[in-house]
Amino acid sequence: MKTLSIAFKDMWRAFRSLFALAFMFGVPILMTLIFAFLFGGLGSSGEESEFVLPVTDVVIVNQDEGSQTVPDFSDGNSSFASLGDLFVATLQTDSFTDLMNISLNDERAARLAVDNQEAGMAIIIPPSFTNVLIGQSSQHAEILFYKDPTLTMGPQVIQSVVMRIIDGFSSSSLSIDTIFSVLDENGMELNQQQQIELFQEINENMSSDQEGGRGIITILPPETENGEQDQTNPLQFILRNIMAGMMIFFTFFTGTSAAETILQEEEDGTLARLFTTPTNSSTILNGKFLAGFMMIIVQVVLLLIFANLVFGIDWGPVAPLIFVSIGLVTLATNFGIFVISLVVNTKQSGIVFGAVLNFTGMLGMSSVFVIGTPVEESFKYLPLLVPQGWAMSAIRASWNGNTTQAVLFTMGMLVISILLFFVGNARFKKRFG
Amino acid sequence: MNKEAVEVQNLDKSFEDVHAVNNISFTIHKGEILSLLGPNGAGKTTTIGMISGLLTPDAGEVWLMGYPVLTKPKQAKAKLGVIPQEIALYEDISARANLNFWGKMYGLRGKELTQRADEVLSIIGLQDRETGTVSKFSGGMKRRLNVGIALLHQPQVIIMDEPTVGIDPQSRRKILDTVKDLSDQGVTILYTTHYMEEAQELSNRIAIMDYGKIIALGTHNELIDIVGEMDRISLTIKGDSVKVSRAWQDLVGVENVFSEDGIIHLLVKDSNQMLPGVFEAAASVDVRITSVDIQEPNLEAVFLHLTGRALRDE
Repeated sequence: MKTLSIAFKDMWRAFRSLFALAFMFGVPILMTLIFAFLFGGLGSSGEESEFVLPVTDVVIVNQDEGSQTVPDFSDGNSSFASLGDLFVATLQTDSFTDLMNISLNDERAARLAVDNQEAGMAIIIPPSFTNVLIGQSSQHAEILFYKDPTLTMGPQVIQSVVMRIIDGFSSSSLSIDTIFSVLDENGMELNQQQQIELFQEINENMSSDQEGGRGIITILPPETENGEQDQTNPLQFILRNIMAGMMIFFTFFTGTSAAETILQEEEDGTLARLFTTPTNSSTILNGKFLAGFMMIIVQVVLLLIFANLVFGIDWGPVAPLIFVSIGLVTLATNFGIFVISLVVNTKQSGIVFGAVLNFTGMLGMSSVFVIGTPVEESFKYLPLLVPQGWAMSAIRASWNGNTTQAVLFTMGMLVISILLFFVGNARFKKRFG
Repeated sequence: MNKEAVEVQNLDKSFEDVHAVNNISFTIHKGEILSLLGPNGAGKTTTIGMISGLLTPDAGEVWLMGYPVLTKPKQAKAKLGVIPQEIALYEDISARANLNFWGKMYGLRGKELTQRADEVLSIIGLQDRETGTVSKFSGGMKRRLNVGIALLHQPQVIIMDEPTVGIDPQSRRKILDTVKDLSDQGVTILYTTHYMEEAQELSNRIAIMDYGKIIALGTHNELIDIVGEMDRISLTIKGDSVKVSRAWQDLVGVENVFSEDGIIHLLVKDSNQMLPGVFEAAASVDVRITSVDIQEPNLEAVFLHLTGRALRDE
């Protein structure tokens, strides 16, 4: 009973504090709202909401001089003097009008347009582009992306699209090189006309693959455990990740704040006074720990419900979600107990909030910030170095319907919790026992 | 052993190089007020820390109402109420919420808790402010609530650690009256203070502490007897202090002469009789007296007599 009395007292005090409420509920919701507005589409709620990227103005500088060996290239419908022209024509197709406005200019004017923020990006195609791709030059051809540094999403996506197209061209070149090598090994040789015909045939086949089959860029939602594709729209996909990341970040904040009340009460003299009552030190410490646990339960439940009702976030199947949430609450509570047991007073605990929580929190949710970037794969395991990373992985597995993985990550969270509690509790007992 | 409310035997405590409490022993009878008087750093707070179970002694034992604090802390603490020197309250909640919480920590529940909280609010005079947030209280009101919390479970022994430090005269009076009322009800009180007037007014017995030791213990009159019921004449002078001290020492009726912080103190049997001789002796060695202060025997004089230092200056 005394344990509960201490826990309820701490909860009552916390929920009377505007500061605590702001960090428990206000900031995570506000951060998610900011991201929602950044990516747009929040106004159209429910199933109609769509992920909309801003259209970026792109200036292309096509310096490609073509090749004397291969005078024209065809995509099956039209012919072009160089691969640079073919590349420009590809970007000007209807597939990309929602993504970019294309214009052509010289290099100086293109750079000036970006510098003056009249364009978001300039793509500069080098003179040797065609010759390098068809194997007539041993040099490297570098495409230069000149971007407005104040823009992030638009130019980043366009660069990915361009790289994908260039990869297609490179594949043609590699295919021809491979055919030539095989023929050469077998003592066969093609004359120049045959080489040109071969290149054009491969090029046409690849172009028709892109048009007739899948588009150049197709965003596929992750597959569930059952092999079905998640139909979550991109806005929800991002919001759910952001909301989960924020919820995890701030539950750890709450856990640490709750444990910090031990130091606060020690400095205020109320902890010493508690020790003069007929209440043993274990009961007092357990009451303080329970307070953190209960506060985080309230926080997680309210944030999950709020995110579902207001942002329309689908957290996936309920049973694994409950299991993962229990793991998160336990982990955040014990993380707080552990880190606060390492410091002596509230002045030092300020460092914990400023450095430890921020560092581990950002690392733990770093995978959220690299979604859709080339380094996404690298951040698959790095966050698991910190407890927050385990929580993020568990909740992701849960909403993807990967119950086995969710259970495994949650078990990992519980094991980490036990270790953190063991160390933290032992240190507090030694100090106050 | 059960005859005494508090029994302290050979209590000893050191913090690194500081010997805070040096092998002290004393008892407090049931219903008695014992004041622990001494300058700051004398070891009073360490002593009550060990009695209340907050600190573990290096040596010695403490019994509260017959229960050993070290081996049966729960039973011992159930008999004890502690009023800490610093205000120890939850300032962001109301007075009533504080009383409810602390009452639960002392094992009170339900109607009993509500009734005791009502009674305590009445005792400390905060009935009309019970719903007010403590942070908005004056220093005196906080002190009174600080006292009230220790009374909730009607303890048989109360330890008060300098409960009147830094408060207004009205609140101070209220606390002193509360202490007297509790004593009248048979509650045993250990009262630490460095205000000798409080010790003098409240206590049945007084223990004087200095450098971790109890240097005197007894009733007010017993302690005064230590200085032989002498008056103290404190003088400031202009001239040769060595010469005049020697001249005053030679006067019949002067028991002791000592100087402290530029003031010369004379312990005499009867100050009224001695004053003319004191002035004459000063004039005979060309020393001019610039101020005179006469004090009848009190605890300050006792401390001065025993330690050669003034209690208040510490």
